[in-house]
Amino acid sequence: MLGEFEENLVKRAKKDPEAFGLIYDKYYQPIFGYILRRTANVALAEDLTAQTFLKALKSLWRFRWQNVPISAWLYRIATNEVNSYYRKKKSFKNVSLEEAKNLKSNVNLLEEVQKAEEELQKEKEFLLLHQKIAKLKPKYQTVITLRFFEKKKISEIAQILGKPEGTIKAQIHRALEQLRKLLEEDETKN
Amino acid sequence: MEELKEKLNKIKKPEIELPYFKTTLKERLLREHQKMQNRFSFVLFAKPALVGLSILIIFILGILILPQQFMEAQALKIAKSHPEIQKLIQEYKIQPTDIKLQDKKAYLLFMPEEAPKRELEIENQKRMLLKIASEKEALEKAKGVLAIVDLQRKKVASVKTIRSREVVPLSLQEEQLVKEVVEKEEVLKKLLPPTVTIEKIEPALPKKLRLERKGKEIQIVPPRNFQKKARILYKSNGKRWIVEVNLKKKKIENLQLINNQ
Repeated sequence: MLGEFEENLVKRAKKDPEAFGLIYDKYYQPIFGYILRRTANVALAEDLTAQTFLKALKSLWRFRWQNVPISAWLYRIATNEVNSYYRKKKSFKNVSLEEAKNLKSNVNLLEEVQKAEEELQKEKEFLLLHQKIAKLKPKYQTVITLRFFEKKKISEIAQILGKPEGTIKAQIHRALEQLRKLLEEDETKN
Repeated sequence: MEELKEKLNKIKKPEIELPYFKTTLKERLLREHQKMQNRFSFVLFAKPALVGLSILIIFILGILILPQQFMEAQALKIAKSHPEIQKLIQEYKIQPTDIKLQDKKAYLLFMPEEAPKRELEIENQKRMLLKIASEKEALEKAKGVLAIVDLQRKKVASVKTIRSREVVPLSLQEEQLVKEVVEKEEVLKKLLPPTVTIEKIEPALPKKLRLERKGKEIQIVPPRNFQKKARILYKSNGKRWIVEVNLKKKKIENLQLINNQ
């Protein structure tokens, strides 16, 4: 039932900006939140969120419904964007900053980012843990974030990453192993 | 491991909202959506329409041009196989220079090959062509022919010699001007005997004629920007000379002594 509704919504969104707006309204916050929890950087999360939705918009024309929910499709794009950023940090093109030149009021955006950044800095425990997670391979960072911060089921992560559930379970296991070692090393040092 | 899982599950995660950024990004995306839709519409409708239009133009041009080219080739083949044309090709080296189709007839213009010029310096000042030519060469060679081919019957309907007076008629005033130019010319006084008299004055046939459609008629016309020239035929004691006068420049350009032998 939900699948049918989403399928029609995607079909409409190809021609109707309002329908695309509905998709955006529904998924903006979860996607931005996911990217923020992957990057722990508000400005970067903004950039990558913008990039994710732009890519989604551009690939909407050739999107063929294959019983994968829109959310999984968007999470997959967001994951690729984040991982791609970490892989090619140097050549990363800061799209939102380019676009920002065209925005009417950058001041409001900058103020908003600053306040959000201050808020983020209050989450000290999360930031410390994120520092350790950031040392893992991007694929392990992905599964940890999706499983424990986004509270996704194994089947949902499998859908997002397009991999068998068994592979996801194994990846989560390996990611946890490595993260535990990193945390233990840290405790030993202290 | 379970401890770590519990820690990860229970940790307080940042829940940050950026309402201004959300709105701005949405506006930006909707503008992009519009742009893409316009591009998509172009690809969907305009591009196939342009391709269709191009095919239609090629098809129409094919219908109009290909049969025309085929008919022209056929007319040329018929004309060249005609005995009179064949004789002219052999004797005067005439070549087809223009072709027009009208009312199931093909009009073919054959012009003689231009003879190489030889310039001679006279008195270190004037340069003119002094040529000794045979009577046949001097009087006939410059003439071209118009062949009319009946495309339905597939045969040559007529072969007409082009008369210079029909293509570039010479007015009485122009004839007078020609006389004035040659009378003033000192070189001619030295080269021609004082007993010479004018046999006739006629317009010189331009070397590069072309065919032009005027209404339902095909006419032979001189090339654009051509300079009108006249030929004066002098005679004296059995000898004859041809002098060519450029009416625009008002000067002589060519002198030929006609060899009667």
